[in-house]
Amino acid sequence: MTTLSVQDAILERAIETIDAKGEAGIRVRDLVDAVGVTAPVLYRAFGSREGLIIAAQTERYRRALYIATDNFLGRLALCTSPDELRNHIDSVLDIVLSDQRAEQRRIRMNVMGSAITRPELLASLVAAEDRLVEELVPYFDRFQRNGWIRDGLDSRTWLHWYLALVNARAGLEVRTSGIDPRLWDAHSRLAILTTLFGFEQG
Amino acid sequence: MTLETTTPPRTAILELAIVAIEEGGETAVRINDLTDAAGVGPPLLYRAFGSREGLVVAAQAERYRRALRVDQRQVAALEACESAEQFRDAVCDLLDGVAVTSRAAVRRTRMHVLGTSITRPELLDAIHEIEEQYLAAFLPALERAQRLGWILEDLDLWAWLTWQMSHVNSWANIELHDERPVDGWRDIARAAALHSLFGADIATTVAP
Repeated sequence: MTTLSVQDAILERAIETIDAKGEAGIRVRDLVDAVGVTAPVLYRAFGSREGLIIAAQTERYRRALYIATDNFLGRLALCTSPDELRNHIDSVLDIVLSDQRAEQRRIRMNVMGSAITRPELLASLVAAEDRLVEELVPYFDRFQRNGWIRDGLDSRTWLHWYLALVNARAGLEVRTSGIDPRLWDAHSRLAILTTLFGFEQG
Repeated sequence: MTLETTTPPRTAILELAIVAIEEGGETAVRINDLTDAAGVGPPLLYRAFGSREGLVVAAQAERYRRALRVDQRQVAALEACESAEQFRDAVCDLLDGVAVTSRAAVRRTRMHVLGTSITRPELLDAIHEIEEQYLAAFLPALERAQRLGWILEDLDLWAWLTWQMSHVNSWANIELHDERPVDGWRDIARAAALHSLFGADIATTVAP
């Protein structure tokens, strides 16, 4: 095994452990035993148990953030009219604002919560989100040049606002009581479409 | 750190746990440190909170409660309105007052607690109760406004309040981008909230 694959194996094992038992379930001894290496290998790769947790949580967040983005980007690139764009975003929202993505949102909410008291983890989550937004910005800038989305809207700002709102559905999903999620979705969809395309079309 | 000796031990321990979480996260909650600082023995802590986890949950719930307090002035301002225009202005003031940067810290606290609640049904229930109490304070003012035709007549007010609260909570996510601040989100958020409450005509006039 190469050094890289040992590092990856430890990381994957750490991710599985956090998924199943939370951060408290991370035990250096168990991980190195499972991967078939010794503790110094883990410490060389990640510095410390905390370093490993930060790396694993960053990767969990990144995976939960980038889900289905490729498909979304590919179809964004193919839009040839404002109607197509609107229909595309509308159908993306059918998936995004649904229970299908609940698990990814739950992970993001969990990682983000644990990052609040960890500046290093927080910085890497913010960087992951920034990268995603920067990938999307050129598309939205083109739509704006074409006059397909609201004039004067800053697409970077809008994308950050959009991602945050979508993340917030987790607050509903983790509960057994509360309002009908369809009402929450209706408000969110209206807010997303009208802030992007304009208020007269609500 | 020590607290006044007149403070009941349970309260003292809870306060110390809150301080520990705020300074070093949940891992900073150490039973021996807390009981030493409170001047009691660990058995008292276990009697009061059941376990370390019980203490952490109680402390996180209390942090959430403090980060979601009703500002009675906001409620009073909505209740005092005598016209649709006044009400709209009061809602705008409320939204702007909530969105200020100085409120970022309480949003961040809520995000912290919410994130740690995912695997804790007990904490989720506590958060849910705190949120319902908070929203219930605003409901009568909105119901009155709806009866008077000042806001959309077919709007489910409780659903709107719940949505708007999670919308507000979501701003913590945007505010994490300290290094390269994302400016202008307040305009988008404000327009979205006003649109869903008052309809397109109003939103058009406040769109960024």
